[in-house]
Amino acid sequence: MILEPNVGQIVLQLVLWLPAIGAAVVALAGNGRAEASTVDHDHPAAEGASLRAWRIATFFAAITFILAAWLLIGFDRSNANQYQFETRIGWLPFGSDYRIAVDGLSMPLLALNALLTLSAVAGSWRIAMRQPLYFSLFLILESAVSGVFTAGDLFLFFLFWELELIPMFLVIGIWGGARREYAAFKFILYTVAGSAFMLVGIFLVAYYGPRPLTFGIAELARFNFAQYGTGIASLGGIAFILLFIGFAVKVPVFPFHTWLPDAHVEAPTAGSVMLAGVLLKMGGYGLLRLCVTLLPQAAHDWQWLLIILAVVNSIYGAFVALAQTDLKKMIANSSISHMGYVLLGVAALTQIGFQGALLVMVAHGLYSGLLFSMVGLVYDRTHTREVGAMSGLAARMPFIASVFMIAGLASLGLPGLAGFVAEFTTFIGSYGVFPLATILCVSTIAITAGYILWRLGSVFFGPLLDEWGTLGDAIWRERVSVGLLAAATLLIGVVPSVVADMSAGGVAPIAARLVGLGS
Amino acid sequence: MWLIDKLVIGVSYALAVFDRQGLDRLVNGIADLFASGGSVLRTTQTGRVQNYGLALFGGMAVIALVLVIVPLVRQ
Repeated sequence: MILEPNVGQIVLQLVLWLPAIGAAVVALAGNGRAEASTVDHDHPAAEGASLRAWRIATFFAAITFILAAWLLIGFDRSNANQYQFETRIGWLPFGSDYRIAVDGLSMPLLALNALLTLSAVAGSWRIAMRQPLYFSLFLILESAVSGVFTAGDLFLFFLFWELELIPMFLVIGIWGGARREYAAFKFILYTVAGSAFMLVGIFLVAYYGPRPLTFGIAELARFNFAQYGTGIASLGGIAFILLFIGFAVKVPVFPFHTWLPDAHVEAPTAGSVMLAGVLLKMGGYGLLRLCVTLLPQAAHDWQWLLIILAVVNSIYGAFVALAQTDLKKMIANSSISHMGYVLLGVAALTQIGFQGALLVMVAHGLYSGLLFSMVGLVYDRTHTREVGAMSGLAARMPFIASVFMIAGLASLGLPGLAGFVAEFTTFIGSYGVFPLATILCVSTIAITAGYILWRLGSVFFGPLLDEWGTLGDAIWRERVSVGLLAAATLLIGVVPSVVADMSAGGVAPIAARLVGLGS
Repeated sequence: MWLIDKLVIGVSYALAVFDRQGLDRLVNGIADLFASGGSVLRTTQTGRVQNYGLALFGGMAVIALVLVIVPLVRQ
């Protein structure tokens, strides 16, 4: 079952670069002629729509997903605490190498990225404008995000981190809603401002790190930055907060979150899926992989801030979500709330807390991606996202209603679905450290249940309004693309060991670095 | 129950308004501050050499003054 290292190495490189190759192929293949088959009486696509770019992009995304799944299965779970399938090539003269590898922390997120990209691309067949550009941007995005999750070198990490911005900026800015330009600029300005701090943090860590100068994450993680002093004003404390700001914008952490509702609401459906499902996880991944791993003493010194922000995030996001009457705004704000659990797990600074944070990232990636996909399917039919305008839709679209409810129930942590396992692990990990903060975060689940059940109930049940009497249910393309996510949500809910055991191994070395720092 | 419902929903609406009208405006306001600061500074770019010369000499006068005053205060 376990992949040979040299085979796994090639598979990993393919998972990373095949989407980028696919992007070039999609762009070169162009648009093709309009096909009559894209227009059926229930779901009229815009005139002149062609499926050639969609077909090629879906093919590449599917192959990448199969390879990523192979990697997930062939990953040596008993050694999840170590980098596997590593490729290392000398690259830049100042101690920065091309290093790509996966461990138990990055493997689940790499697979999540491949799955969500496949779902987002396959679900985008309705896009009627500049399809080749659209699909190649999504494939470039997949490569960039995979690069963030697999980079073993800080410089390479930063390069992929910035590369990810460009396709998402264009996707929001070109195919977005009415306020797309405002949202796209807000997204890129916030993230770039955050990554400016992060870059200073990276240089600080490398400059004061081991000699000869290196950007290798593994080498830096073995270095003791506490020798320069402890406390929040020490070198480690400052480097930690600089890196933290970069990741906090991405997660997003209150008060850096205001770009998120704009970006998620204005982005086209597939863009929202990738934003909520994968891009936010880059922030949580960075917190674990860089902030806590490289600077455990500083993480300990800053723990009070992390825990305050975690509680504020989950409560604030949940309340704001409850007030929304636009389904997409509601889900966008619920992401802020759920990413607060990730921060809670990280802030606990225990192995179970870290594992919970990672599992919440995977689970939230699946169900938030699914929620955004379902809103997209409803909007394609009704052309509104206002809950007040819709009623009784389950009678016309039973499939959409069912899958939407599955995603909603996963979001509120129903046992048997992905959210429960993840959130439960997080709360177990943090309760021993912060009982009060954990109780406050757990209580937001009641609010989550409130807005999910209240809003979905009024949209799908109750009397069917006459104006919605002719709407159709999802067609097979849509069923496959959202079915993938629903199946994964169910699978992780019932068999959490798909990712849980390797995630425990993946965070073990981080937790080991915190032992003996006192409390 | 009715009271709790109203209370929770009331708080949530208040926070939602704060999020959009308060926090978001604040951050955008900082951006506007730089933009308006730039437009104030822009008025100094007149292209008149006399103005630039005045600023140059004014700056030198301030530096000279500081160089005189600081040693006096030190004593």
